Amino acid sequence: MEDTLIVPVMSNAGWSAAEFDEIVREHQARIYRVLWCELRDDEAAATLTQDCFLKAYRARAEFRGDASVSTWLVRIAVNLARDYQRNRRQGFWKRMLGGSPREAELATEMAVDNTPRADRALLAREQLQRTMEAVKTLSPQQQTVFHLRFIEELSIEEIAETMGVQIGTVKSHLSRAVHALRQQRKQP
Amino acid sequence: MNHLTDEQLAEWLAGETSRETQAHLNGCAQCQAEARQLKNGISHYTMAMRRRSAQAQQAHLDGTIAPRKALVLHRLRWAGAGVLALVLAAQTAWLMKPRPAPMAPRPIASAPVNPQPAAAMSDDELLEAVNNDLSRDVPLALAPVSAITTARNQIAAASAIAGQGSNQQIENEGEDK
Repeated sequence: MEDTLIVPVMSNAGWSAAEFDEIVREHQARIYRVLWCELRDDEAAATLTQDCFLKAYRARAEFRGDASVSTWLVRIAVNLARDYQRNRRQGFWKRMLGGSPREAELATEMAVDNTPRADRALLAREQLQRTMEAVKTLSPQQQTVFHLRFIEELSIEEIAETMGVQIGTVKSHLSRAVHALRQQRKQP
Repeated sequence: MNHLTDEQLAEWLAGETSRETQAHLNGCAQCQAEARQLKNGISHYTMAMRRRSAQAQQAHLDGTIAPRKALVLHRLRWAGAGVLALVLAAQTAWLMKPRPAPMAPRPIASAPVNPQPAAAMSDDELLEAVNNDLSRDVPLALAPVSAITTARNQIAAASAIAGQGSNQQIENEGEDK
């Protein structure tokens, strides 16, 4: 992914090129993170991050300012991730392969990085693994809600706006996620 | 005693808890422990995902810079190879360029002409030339001296026939030659 997105010098609507360049710098880490959490694919996340900003620049005239720029960009990113998953049928392969090996890496990283004491590290690792297992059982839309809420820290309203759904739907997805987490805790 | 539902726990985890839910949590150790464990698990998950995505993004950024450097070196190597190929081609062309045949040695006076063996001389021709050199009475390098001596002898013989008076004159002429 490029550091900056090269845009034409003059734009006839929305932001100037310099302003848009600043937007890219400010939001690209978050957009990449959103896409990476959705896809767990480094290259795809990088490519779709570029696509996201390119799409945003082309559609800058349609940005009304009702939502924040961040929410608008996240919405574009979520839609791109959804299209990508649909086209590539990532969900099928994930189910077939039984999860990404990155999850094991994540659990190991947690155990290594947060190790004030061995028992706390083991507990943290177990909690992380259970959470990951629970998230895997969620539908793609439920996972998106979960990520937007707890990783991106969007409010319920922002998530609803980003995903184009009702607030009640977002709450329902979160409840389903909590249910999955609780179920996972009950397993030996 | 009814414990917290999924919806209530979700609201609490999302930071939108009601007063009723909070009151229950304050009084129920079981729900409190469960809520804390869920929150810790989500917190670990969030940190791990953020860290891993940041690492992936950084690795990707590094990966996009490194190939650029490699590309420059790659192009430099190809440019160097191209220059070397041009130099070799020019040298080969210079070596292959047809040149005028070497000048044949100028025949010396009345001495027999013995051309030097050509580079493309066949084995038979070379052998014949060597045989000629070996059968020659006078070495090639001494041919001019031999010619002078022969001429002098011929003149001396003629003088002896013509008379003694002209001997000195004939000898001078032979020396002039």
